[in-house]
Amino acid sequence: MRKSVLERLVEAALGGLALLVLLVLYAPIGISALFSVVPVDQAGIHWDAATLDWYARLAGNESVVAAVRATALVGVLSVAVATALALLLAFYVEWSEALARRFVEVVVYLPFLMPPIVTGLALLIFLDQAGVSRGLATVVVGHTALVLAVLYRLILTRLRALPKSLVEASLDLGAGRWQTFRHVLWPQLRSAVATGALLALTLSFDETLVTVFLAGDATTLPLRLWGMMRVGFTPEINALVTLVLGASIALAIVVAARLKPQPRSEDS
Amino acid sequence: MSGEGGATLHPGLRLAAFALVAAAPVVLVVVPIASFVVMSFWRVDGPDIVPDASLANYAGFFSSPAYWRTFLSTLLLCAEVTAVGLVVGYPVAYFIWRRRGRLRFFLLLIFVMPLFMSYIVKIYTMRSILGLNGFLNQALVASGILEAPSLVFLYNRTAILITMSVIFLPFVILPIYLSLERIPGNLMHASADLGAGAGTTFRHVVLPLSLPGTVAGALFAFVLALGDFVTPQMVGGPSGFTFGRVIWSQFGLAFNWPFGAALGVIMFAFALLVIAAAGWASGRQRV
Amino acid sequence: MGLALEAVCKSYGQVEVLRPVFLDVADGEFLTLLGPSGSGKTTILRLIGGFTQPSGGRIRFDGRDLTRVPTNRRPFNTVFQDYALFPHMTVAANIGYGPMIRGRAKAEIGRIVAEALDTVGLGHLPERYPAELSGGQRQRVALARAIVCEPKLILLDEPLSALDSSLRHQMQTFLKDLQRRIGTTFLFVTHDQEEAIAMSDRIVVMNAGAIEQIGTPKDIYYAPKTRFVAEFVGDNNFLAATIGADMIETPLFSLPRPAHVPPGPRPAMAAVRPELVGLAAAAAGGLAVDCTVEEVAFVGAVSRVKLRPLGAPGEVLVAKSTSAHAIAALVPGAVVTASIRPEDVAVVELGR
Repeated sequence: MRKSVLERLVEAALGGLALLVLLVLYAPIGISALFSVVPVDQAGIHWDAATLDWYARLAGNESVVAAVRATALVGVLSVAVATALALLLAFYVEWSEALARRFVEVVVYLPFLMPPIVTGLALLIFLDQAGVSRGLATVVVGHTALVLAVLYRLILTRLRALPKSLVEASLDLGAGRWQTFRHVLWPQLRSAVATGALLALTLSFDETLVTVFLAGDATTLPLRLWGMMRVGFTPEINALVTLVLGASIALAIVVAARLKPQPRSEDS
Repeated sequence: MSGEGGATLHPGLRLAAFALVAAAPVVLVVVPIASFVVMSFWRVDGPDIVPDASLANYAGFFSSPAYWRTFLSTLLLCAEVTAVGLVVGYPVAYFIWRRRGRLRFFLLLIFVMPLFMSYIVKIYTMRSILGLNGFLNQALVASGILEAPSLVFLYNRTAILITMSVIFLPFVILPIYLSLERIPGNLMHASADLGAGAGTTFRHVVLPLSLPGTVAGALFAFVLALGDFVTPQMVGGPSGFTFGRVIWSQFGLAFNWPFGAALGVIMFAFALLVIAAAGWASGRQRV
Repeated sequence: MGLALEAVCKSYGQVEVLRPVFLDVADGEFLTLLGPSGSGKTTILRLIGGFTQPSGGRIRFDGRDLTRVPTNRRPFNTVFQDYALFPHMTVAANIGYGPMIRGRAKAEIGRIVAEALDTVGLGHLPERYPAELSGGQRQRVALARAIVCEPKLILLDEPLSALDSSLRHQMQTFLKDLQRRIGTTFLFVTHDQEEAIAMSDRIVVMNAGAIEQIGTPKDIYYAPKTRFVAEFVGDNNFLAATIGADMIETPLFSLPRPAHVPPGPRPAMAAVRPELVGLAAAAAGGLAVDCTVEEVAFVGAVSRVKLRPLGAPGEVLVAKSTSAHAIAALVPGAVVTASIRPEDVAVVELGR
């Protein structure tokens, strides 16, 4: 369809807006990266003194390294647990004889839909009343609750996209339920699980609002950053921030590549 | 897995399966919510939390103008953030959608990427941008719009509004884009075939069909903004007190968990209301 | 002994999709379930395959009651309408799936798979993936996969409906040959009556959840027992008829009551296939109907001639003819004598 002059003008205006928005969205990141290398103070920006020193100093900073380790541990654990749960729940909801499927779905999605502060304080109160002291374990519980919804949705969507006849064909050919899962369903779900796990990991790495309620004395990277920021800003923080951003971008690209619509159809 | 590949199960087995599967979500979600609702009826006595059954906390909220004024002003703030998100986000989503092929995918990627970036980091850098020595002031002074750096951009309500808008914008863009993408291409062709120009097609075809996604995006931004207590604390200054911060302080310095729970219940109920209303509104679409 | 369905029925809540049916399937026969969508034919197939449970009745095979036996333990295999090939497995892996589940040795599986591929004519394709195959090739892989486990019965759920018509005809011949060669009982579901007539030993015509008629293709075609069968299979001319004690009266002609039709008086229907309405010289003993030609429609191999009987202008007779000479002489407005042999008139009873 050929576009009229007015259409072109409108699209140019929209393009301009998009560019502006892009600048605003990426300004914080660009600036952090910039100031992690170039020192700046009251006197101004010292372009000539650019250095990678602060990155080096980070590696030696015990508390930061510990926070990174804790964040990674929490991420891996909560994603592992959430994946197992999400698989279980997705199959349950697709099982036609299951009871209360709607209820289960609503409960799974709830922490994702609620303001994180509500999820955080609900878990805090519950765990405290149950006598569980706050620490990395409780953070894992919190992250699992949040991340479950994402994994569940991705797995369920993939499961629903599979033709029902595939399972019937497997049974028809003599396979039992476990064999059907192993040979027919799992190979098809593997990719959705991997994508979901990566996405969940990203969410867990960055999670602040709920973690703050549940961490107690323990610390994760976002919490550490928050602590550092309350004091003021130093180039070291910028360095850390840029590293975190770099890692997030890398993960995002991987997830995006996996989620990109395939030109070739997978169904027979 | 499949439908009924074998005999229909005994009702007892179905119940057992349900109990087993639902155990985790119930423990992770339902029980915590129940326990915090229960605690909202308790009270504090010195350093102890005393189980009780009273509406004192709720009474305290409704009778004290300080609290419910904060709540209302927070709602207004969140509505403003949502409005900015929609006004800016919809055109951007539309623009991305109108591109073809790889450019479209690439654009979507770079607009959504900020979702993956550290939340704390974004607030922090917004703070440094908006500050007295920050980039914004420097740019304005250098270009002559301002004579001297201004304090007006940071540590107030405006700062919270700006920061939240920047942070939550991708959350609005993505659902809108997804619902635009779902519009079958042949509807656009049909509209043109019947004589409609681009503007008319937009008003009568694209806008109504993208409404569910728009509502979802708006909802997302609103609910996230509602619960955010870190942004107000970092960029809000003393006048930037949102409801989220109030709740947070009950679990921190103020140490009044039951009261905090009550306030949390109020926020939770309100969020549920908004979600239900949005669900009803988009359910009325015959899409 | 074969497969037997005894009073098998199926309802979903209040909706009855299959009324109680009785069916015996002989060993080694090619039986087709024919009917429009919603007739219950696919339901029967799924009940036999075990993908659904009957609401009542029993399914027996070789005397054994299979009603409660799960799908994976029934000695049947299915060719699905969408082929249901496992997209992440090669052709060889798809076909070898059944033997693999049964624990056969790898070498043996390889041999069996190669044999099956040869049988369906796809010996050169074992390492391909389903997405790389054409519709016809996938269809044959699905077939090979079903044959390889040597089931007692093969269920085919409208397997040819996704193919274009020339490929379809090829596959019909192929399937018929294959069934004769391997001798397994085939239970075939389709809504295409030409297909059913071309391939089957017997046809079960179904409508709205019940069996209308079971018979050989010729029985179904020339001796339909109900109005539905007469209408659904092929084209037909219908005339209201009254069965008397000795004669059957229609608006166009009368004929002696055939011996197998019980005497009246009662209303019924007479049906005559268009290709049996003769337009050439009147045959001796034929029922003659003088008509005006209203319309001649050229449909390729045949031409359809719409005739208006002079004695009964409210009726219409359609004749089909391949005779080029006869058609050339027929122009709208011409008067011709249509001739019908009494034995070509089918008497169809009304009501169920």
